[in-house]
Amino acid sequence: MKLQCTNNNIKDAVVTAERNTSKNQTLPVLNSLLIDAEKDKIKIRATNLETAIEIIVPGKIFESGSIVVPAKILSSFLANAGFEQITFQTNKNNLLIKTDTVETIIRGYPLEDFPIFPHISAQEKFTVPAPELKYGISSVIIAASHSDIKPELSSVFFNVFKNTIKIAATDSFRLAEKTIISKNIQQERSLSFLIPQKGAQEILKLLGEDEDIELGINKNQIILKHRNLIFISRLTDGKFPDYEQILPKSFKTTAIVKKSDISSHMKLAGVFVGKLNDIGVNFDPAKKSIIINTSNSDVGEHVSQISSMIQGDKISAKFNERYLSEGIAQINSEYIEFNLNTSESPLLIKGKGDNSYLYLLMPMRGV
Amino acid sequence: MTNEELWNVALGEIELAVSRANFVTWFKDTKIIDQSNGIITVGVPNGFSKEWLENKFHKFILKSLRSNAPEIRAANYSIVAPSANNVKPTKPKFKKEPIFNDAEQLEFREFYIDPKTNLHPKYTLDSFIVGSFNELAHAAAIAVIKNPGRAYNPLFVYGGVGLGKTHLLQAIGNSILKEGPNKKVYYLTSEKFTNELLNSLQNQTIQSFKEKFRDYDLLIVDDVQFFANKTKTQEEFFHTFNTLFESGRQLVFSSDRSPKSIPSIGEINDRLISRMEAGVLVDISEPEYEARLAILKAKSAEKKIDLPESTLELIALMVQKSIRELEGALNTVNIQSKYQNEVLTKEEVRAILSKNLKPRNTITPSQIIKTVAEFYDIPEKSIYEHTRKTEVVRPRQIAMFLLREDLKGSYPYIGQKFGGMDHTTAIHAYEKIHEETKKNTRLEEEIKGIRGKYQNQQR
Repeated sequence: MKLQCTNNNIKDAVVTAERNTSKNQTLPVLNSLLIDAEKDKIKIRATNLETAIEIIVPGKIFESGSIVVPAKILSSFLANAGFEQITFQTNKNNLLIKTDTVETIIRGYPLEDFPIFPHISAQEKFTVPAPELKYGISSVIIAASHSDIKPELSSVFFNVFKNTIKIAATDSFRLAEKTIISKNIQQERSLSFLIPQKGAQEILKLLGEDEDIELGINKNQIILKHRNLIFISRLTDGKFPDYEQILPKSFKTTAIVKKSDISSHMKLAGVFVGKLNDIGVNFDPAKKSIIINTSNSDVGEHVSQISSMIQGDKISAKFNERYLSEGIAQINSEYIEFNLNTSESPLLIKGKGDNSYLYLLMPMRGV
Repeated sequence: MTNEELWNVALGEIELAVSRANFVTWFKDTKIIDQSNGIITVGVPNGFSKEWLENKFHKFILKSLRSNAPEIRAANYSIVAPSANNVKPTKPKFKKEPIFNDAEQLEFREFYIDPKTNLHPKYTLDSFIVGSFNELAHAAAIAVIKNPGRAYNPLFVYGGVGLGKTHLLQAIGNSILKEGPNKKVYYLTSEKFTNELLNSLQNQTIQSFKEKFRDYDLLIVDDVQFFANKTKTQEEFFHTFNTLFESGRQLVFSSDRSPKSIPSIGEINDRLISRMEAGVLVDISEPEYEARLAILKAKSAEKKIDLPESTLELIALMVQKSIRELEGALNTVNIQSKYQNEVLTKEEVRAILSKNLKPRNTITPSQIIKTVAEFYDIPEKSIYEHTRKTEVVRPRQIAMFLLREDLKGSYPYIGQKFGGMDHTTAIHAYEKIHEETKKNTRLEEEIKGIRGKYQNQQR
């Protein structure tokens, strides 16, 4: 194999591919990349057996061939290589990199040990505007669980039906749901699946700003074809909780507050948050304010009064400060709406007049 | 040879011939899922394994299979999700998660409730702590589990708020389900029954509602006292009850008072109540000190709360009412000690508890009167009127009795409270009820129920 390309082009591809390698496995070849120039295109492939990626790199092929090299070594080399153009050449299992000034040899792995890229056919396909999908996943993924005990809770749930995608995640303490409505989603039948958090994170990073993207689904995998790359992720096998039943339909108390106000006061209060990470939130219709307070026996105490339009009963509740501020941060409207019933039932956060994003948070015990 | 044996033998051969790393990576979670006409289908966990086995090991796999089962002609590969038992949970990673006690963060409970039975799996008989206050109820529950539909039918459990009725009821459901997973078990509150009935009436699906409820092997209805005053619901429930009962299905009920004390209006109610009483009635009373301590210890172990024994003893001593209250006190003390990051002294624990436990004397006379009126379902103001209607006289006497007993009010004060009656009326009322409670257990029950109500209201 002999090929030539610009440093920038190959560097971007290598960095992206490297994210899909795995370090800690019985099979060391999984931390490597395959550079494939067998036909007329230069392709870089990587997989950790959960996700897999293939990226096409623009460049010129002089001799066909392919090689497998450790991802980390190649990416650190390219990150520090200051020159414009690079020539790659194979010599048995070694990769020879030559420019005017340097001559480098990277030891590779036997080619036949590298996993075969699965050929999968998508049974269902749909198209989504990339920016909306990106925003949807990023606003929801915060609520996914970080523990692996329940795979369905550490995944992101998709439900696709006519012109609509609902994306949701929950760790059983909070739940986030984003609804995307677009005429581009051509899907007649209802389709639902769970993408593992890692795969969803990767999709987030791959998505660009301004185009439609095609997603293909079969029983076990999701395929994303996009510009010059193909990305595959395993799907989680499991059943996402029937979450719509827990969304409260009516509320005793509703408060509307300016987002900039509440988020700046949350940051203030966050300084004094105690060991349990708890923040007291008091919805006081008489004072027309939301009063938040935190205290830490080692640091000090803090109380903020945020003026707000409140209707309904006076309610005090306690929340995990991080969960609450993460939810607030996802709201894009100027005004935020807080809805709740009692101090032990879920708090619903959404933008005023915007039902496309919902964040539901359970309080902490002991007001 | 079964598919499993065949695959194990083949795997044994393959393992010898390939490297350890290759074997572990590619053959993990594989199995034979089908064998017909000499064609074997191998289930593999993901697309990578499928490609790999197809392209690199196919001949080898076929050879190993044929050496054990010569009739095999071909093998193909198909992706199947590994069954739940085989998935080893990888070590939970709590990298980003802050370390805090989950006990304080509430969860979406509905996620854990089985939609088919409406039971929460956390309620089991193993976690039900038995003491003299509930051993009868526990024994009856066991009898029902061993011999559903025959031993005690219906089983009626009653007792105050937060004493573990729901736990026991759900545990019966869970245990019966464990013994016979195909049994149709359903748990619901009387309120839910009412709501479902109303919905089905609105949506005109009453027929499927009826069929649904008449199909269960075990029907558990919690808090049946809320059926009071709902004639239409009672009627529907009465029929459901009869259908189930006649076909030998088990029924379990709970209530915060004995069936006799549930306010009776109309004929249906009386018939329903007499049906409910027909089986066995067991009550759960307030736990005694030893049981309270045992409960506290079990709860601390369950929630990984680390409090010294002396603190638990103090909580058990001070909190006497209900198990729910006991749990609340335990949590409060635990949070406080975590805040201060030290073991709390006896005085501190006492201070926290006395702040949270409202003493009984914060009950006002009007609260008692209101509760009594509600309990007997008479208008509150009629108690204050100088009327001699029996349905009013009796509740009035009970209210006077309670004012004297619980609030230590003087007789003239009590008389004055009830629209300026003479103090002798109050004395007469107190003595009459006092005497009668000794003989009449039903009255005693009723009074206990009323007390339970207003004492719980304060929280």
